Amino acid sequence: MNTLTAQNLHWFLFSGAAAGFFGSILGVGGGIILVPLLVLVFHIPMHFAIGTSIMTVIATSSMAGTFNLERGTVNIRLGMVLEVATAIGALFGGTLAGLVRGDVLTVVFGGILPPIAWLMWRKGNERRPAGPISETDYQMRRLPLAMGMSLGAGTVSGLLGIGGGIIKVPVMTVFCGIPAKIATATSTFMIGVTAVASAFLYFGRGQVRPAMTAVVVLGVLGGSATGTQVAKRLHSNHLIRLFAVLLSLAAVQMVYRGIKGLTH
Amino acid sequence: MEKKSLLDRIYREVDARASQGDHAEKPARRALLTGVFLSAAMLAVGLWIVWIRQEARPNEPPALSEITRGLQQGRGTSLLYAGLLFLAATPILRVVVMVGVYLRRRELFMAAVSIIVLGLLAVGVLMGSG
Repeated sequence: MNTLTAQNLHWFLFSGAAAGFFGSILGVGGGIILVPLLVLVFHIPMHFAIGTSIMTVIATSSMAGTFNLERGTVNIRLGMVLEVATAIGALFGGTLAGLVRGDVLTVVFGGILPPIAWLMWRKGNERRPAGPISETDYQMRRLPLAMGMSLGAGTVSGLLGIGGGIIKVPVMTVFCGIPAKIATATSTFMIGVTAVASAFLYFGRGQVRPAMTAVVVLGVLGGSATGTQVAKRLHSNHLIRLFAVLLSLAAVQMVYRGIKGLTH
Repeated sequence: MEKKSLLDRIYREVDARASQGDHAEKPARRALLTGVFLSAAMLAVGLWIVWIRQEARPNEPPALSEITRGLQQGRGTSLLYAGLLFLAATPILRVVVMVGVYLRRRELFMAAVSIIVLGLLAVGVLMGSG
């Protein structure tokens, strides 16, 4: 049994808010920031960090989904079709996570951070488009590729507790002809369902600590709502590049921590 | 005669113009908003009760019957579990709403896709509770 102390309550709330805030500003899911924060700073076991992150993914997806649906930027039909693949992937990833040691997951998480950091670094070097790109005149291409990548993104989501948008959005945009705004909004709309597919597996294994998760979820909701407002006015390439460097450092630490745990 | 494969059918369904004529945004949005606000309220009140009473929390996840009993007794931990379950149920509720929307419009293809998604989520729930 454990009890809630004022100190850890404040820190978890702050961590959730920070993950939600910077996740919104940087255009990445909070899980990419939250899981390393929980594991490296608070020494939360990996499976519990993933369980918490999955619940925050559901919260942010649902919240952001309402804004995007109001703006009409979600292709609901495309989202529903791709959700078939992401849900299958998430069930597989969530089941697999229950079979492997936390240290292995820590190493794997550390391993996927550098490509994400690289994508962020590239994004940080991009210029903002001068005008709006058409969101009403596009045609989906290469659906099998999108389904395959959605399956992969779902697996990564169930295995590591991240949304998987970082995988889906570039594929939808670059290879499938979906405008970036539609791809991002549709991906955000989908990740809640993807996360739910594996959330109950973590619940069932007792890997969701209710008080800690509740505090972090409330923090993430507050942080992402604020971050969304700030992101409209701010597009700092320096901040994006700084986070890419921080993620790379976190990757090294996660891999080191995981390998240390495996060899002891 | 033009060969119509499943892939062609999906391409037609997800076409930009088809999705614009969807008008499913409102019910989906309502489902998500309701779920997020209710679960956030449950989590906030649950945390407050746990904090005030300094309730000890079980390390093992309680059964649904225990959560219900705890809710009747006003236990904060049970409210936290209920809030988290309600949050997890929010996207499921959204899919249920989509099934209803497509069935009402007799869009059987999209209704079938939504039912498949719902079925996969049900598998997740059953695997977690089993």
